Amino acid sequence: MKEEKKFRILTVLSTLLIIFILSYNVFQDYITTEIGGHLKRRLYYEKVILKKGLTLHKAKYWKKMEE
Amino acid sequence: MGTKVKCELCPTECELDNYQIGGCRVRINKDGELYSLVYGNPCSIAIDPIEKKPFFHVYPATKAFSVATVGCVLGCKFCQNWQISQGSPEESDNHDLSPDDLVRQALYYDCKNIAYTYTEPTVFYEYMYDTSVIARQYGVKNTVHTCGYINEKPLRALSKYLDAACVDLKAFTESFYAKLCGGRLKPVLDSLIVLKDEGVWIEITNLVIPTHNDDLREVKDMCRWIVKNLGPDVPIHFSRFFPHYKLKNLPPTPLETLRNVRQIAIDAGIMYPYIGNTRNEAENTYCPNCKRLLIERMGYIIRQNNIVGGRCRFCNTRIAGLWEA
Repeated sequence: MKEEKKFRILTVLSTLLIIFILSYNVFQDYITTEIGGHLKRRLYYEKVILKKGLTLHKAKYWKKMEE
Repeated sequence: MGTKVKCELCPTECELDNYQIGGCRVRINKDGELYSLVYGNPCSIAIDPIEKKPFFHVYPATKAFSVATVGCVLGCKFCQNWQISQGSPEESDNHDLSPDDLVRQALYYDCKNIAYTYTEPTVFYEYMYDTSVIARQYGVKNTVHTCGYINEKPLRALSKYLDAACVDLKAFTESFYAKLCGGRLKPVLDSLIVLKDEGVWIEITNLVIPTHNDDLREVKDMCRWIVKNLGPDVPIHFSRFFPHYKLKNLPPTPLETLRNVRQIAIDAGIMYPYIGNTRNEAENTYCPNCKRLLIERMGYIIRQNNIVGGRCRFCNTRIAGLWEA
């Protein structure tokens, strides 16, 4: 492999890594709180609440009732 | 991550993400729909004298089929039932009791009333509502012991089927509600006015906690507000505080304090001020006109009742409340 090709590959990989790091920093809050929180809540629902056998009964929702 | 849902039942108005449970611990958003986790699953069922709620002007000496699920809209540091009010349905032992079966049991055990009590009934609103509708059809009275922390629309809808409400007016300052309960005073006062407006019989309970809400000026303001907005014939139960839950550092309320707040209530024009959680003659009901003894109580036992058809047996004065015809 030519030196020039090696350099190109390295440049592309470095760029991708920088983009990934920057994106993670920007979307970190969303990823950890939103997705992480959602997964945690869903797991709790499925492993604890469903396992306990609690039934879900539709709650009254006043805004909907007005519509 | 799914649709957010805003619960509009109590003034906290939790905005819930998908699969998130509300602050009351019993309402969940699942895929954009709000659900109750405790419908038909009470954690406490008992038959109590109606006087235990406390209701002193509601069918004396009758039985109340009392029911509660876990959960509460507030987090009072002095809660006497914190084991269930601050618990969650997945951690508690629950019964299976549909609204139909609940009313059937109340009738079977000859209970004139159903009492939604022990924890905050607002959290099991749908269960209470459906039960109330059926109970009304069978002539069973619906009574509720509540902190009054509920929004106007759901309260008005429920009030159509409620006969009596005992409301905990825990104090008369916003700072007390914020510091000790995690709530606000204003919605409670609003609820009292709504209940009055809807024609529900009201009794008020005020737990007198040393150093927190035993200021006599505050009690005076509270009594004046009650007389002005609800009327002088709304009974008030000043209850004695005992160290509990997160307020174990305080002493029980001195009896003298209770006598003082009762006197302030009398001076403000309250016709039926009672002292609760301790045996004393301020548990009795006296005629506001002739001052004769009407109902003599000893704890939850009625020793004599001189109210006939809702009137004083001696001077025929009408006594406010719900009485046997």
